[in-house]
Amino acid sequence: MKPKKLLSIIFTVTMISTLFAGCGAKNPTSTNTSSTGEKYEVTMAYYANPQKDTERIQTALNKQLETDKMNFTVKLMPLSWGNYDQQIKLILSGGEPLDLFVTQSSSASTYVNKGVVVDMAPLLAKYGDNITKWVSKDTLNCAKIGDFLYGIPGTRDLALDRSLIIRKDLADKYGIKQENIKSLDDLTNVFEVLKEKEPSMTPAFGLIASNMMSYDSLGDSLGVLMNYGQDTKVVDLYETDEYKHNVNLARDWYTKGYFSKDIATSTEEAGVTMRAGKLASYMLQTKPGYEGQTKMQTGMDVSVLRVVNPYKTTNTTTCFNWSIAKNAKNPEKVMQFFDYAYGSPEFENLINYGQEGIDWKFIDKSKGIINFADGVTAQNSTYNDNIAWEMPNEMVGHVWEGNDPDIWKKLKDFNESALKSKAYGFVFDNTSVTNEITALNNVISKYNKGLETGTVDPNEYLPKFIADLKAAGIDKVVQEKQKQLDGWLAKQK
Amino acid sequence: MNGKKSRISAIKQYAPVYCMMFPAVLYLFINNYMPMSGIIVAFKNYNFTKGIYGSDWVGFNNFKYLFQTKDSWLITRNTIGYNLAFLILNIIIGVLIAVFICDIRNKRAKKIYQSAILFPFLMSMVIVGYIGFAFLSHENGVINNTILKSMGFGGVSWYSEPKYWPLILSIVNVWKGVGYGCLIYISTINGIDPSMFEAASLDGAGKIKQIWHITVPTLIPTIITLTLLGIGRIFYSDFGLFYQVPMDSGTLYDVTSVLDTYVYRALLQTGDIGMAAAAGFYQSVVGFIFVLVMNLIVKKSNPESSLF
Repeated sequence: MKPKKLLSIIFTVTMISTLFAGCGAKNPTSTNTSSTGEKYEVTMAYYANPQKDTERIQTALNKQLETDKMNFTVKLMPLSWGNYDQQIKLILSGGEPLDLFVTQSSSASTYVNKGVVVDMAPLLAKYGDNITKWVSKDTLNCAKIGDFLYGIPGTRDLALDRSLIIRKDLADKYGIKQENIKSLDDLTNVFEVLKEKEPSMTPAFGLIASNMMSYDSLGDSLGVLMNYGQDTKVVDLYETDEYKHNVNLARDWYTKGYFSKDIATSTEEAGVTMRAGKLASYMLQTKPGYEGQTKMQTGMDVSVLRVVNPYKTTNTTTCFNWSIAKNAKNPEKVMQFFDYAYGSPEFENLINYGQEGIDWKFIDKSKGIINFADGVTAQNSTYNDNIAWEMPNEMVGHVWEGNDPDIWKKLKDFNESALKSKAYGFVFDNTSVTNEITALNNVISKYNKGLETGTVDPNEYLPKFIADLKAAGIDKVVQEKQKQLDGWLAKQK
Repeated sequence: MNGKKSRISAIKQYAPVYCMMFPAVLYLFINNYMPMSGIIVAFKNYNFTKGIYGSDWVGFNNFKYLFQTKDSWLITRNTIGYNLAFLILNIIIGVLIAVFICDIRNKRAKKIYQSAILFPFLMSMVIVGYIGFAFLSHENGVINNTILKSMGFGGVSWYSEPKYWPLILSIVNVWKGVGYGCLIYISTINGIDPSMFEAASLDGAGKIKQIWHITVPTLIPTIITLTLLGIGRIFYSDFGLFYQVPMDSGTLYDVTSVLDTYVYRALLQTGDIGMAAAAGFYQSVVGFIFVLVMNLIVKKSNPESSLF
């Protein structure tokens, strides 16, 4: 009898105490601003894969801020790719602390219309000394809707080309070189060799249109400019001959087994599959420095064989920007912090690569070339994520081994010399066609993965796709885009 | 004097019960009733800076996207069709399993089966989706590689063939959800006086006749109550079931697209809160009307079983 009663009392007490478990959680962040004196805490949110040692890096960053006599502390908020958009929306609508966060141009017009971000133009004029040194006026114009500057791009690749990324050991073994590859069709031979000679690996991966074609998506791919954005007529991408040719090519590759049979339902990033040794090559947008980035992620050397030449569109420039959230308590201070991050090599090296000696070490200090520290590899590193391109200014940081020592100069040249789309700087305002866009998004998610991976027969599905697009109002969206584009082009003259 | 005394003693007697009820009621109030005024978001163009009460009214504009699409008939048919099918299947299979479990003599085995049947209910749908993928994956799945191969058939691209999916989704839903109803049926059956069964077998009734004439009629009020509770959700779907299990495969949309997944995919880009709220409003209004109508019908035929 006694032990039973004791047991029931213990259980009751445990249950009651779990009632109070929820009460303790919320307040630590707000105490920071008052307890550490005048320091402003900047909450920075960005796309990343969760890393074990983010806390350690955050502490190191705060120490660096103190050393540089900046009156800030930073709170890193890396959010995973799958989660980011939803989490940010929750944080924004819940009024939780958020100062600086990464925005994509596809959400820009919504964010501006809903009053979610702060206009950075006046702040830039006051506090943006470092930033204006690195970012050209041309680039900033891409991130403006009217005169509202909704975000500032980092110094990453503002243009993109499209390539086949293949493991260097395989490319060397089978003599696969850039001179044999001039277009997508040439890749068929490459995949054939890989399939025959390397049966343990899937030869290829990639979405043939979204990753490998040369159009200006004008924000959302619903109505595009073909031919590297040099046409000024807005057309429906999915009705073009080029698209038809490409999906038929993808179907050919799928039936021959060059793609995994499950490619349409795959949720893995290509680099991860390659790191596991199960993938020989993949197709993706690339930039100078891609080799080093991939080496850091997968531990493997790769050859990047270009298929489509580099070109710049509003989207490639503003696909990822840093914006200041409406939730920020003091946007001016946030801008000061952002400007500091733009100019500080120490900040960039810490957040991109980790701590010297622990995560990385110098291979050649004079040239600033680095690699993993002793005992650390791509597989076991506790802080190793591919986010340098996302951070404000990777160009002031070190160069990862495997990349050209002059990579930053090369990247700058790449950005400046890439072919510019005729619609560079144009941002589409979609408020008058939101209903059509929601219906169109559904149609696209229904068909495009199946067609682009060759999983379904284009002879059967492409006509259905086009019919559904028309029924959902693609023509209306294309007309509206053309109207806005013509108006914008006239103003540029 | 007497009335007051009995009142106080009544309160004393039931006080522990009220105490147990209090946290749940508080939670219900805070979580369900306090935010109810937020329903107006469905009629507003939500602006983050203006907040809920300051944003502009837009009438029924937010509802248009649900009906303007050629898919609106498709998603309505899928939502209601699957829900009705699941309801009927879960009742039939739930009752069957409950009867079987109650018939087991071995007490330990009985407890194990009861827990086993509830286990899938507690599993996350994401995990179930991947378990399904382990079976249905074209390259590596169990069905293609082991079962079909041994019979000499080539592999089937499960995630690209819409015709199998009503069956697949029903199997997954029953596997996952039947445990819940089952437990309630089991407790009802356990409450049946065993002397009824003895009397019936004395009268010469076989097992099946006993089930049909004693067990089932006892279960009918429970079934009606559970159905009435479920019917309020006729326009809601288990998002995980229709999004995760088909691995969001586009070719299957015609048979797996329900209202919840449609809204999710449509608004993923724009993230329009007003439009999403409009969809939720639509679902709850329809569900509410259904519950009222069904309750009236039940009141006419079986008055004790109606909810109110």
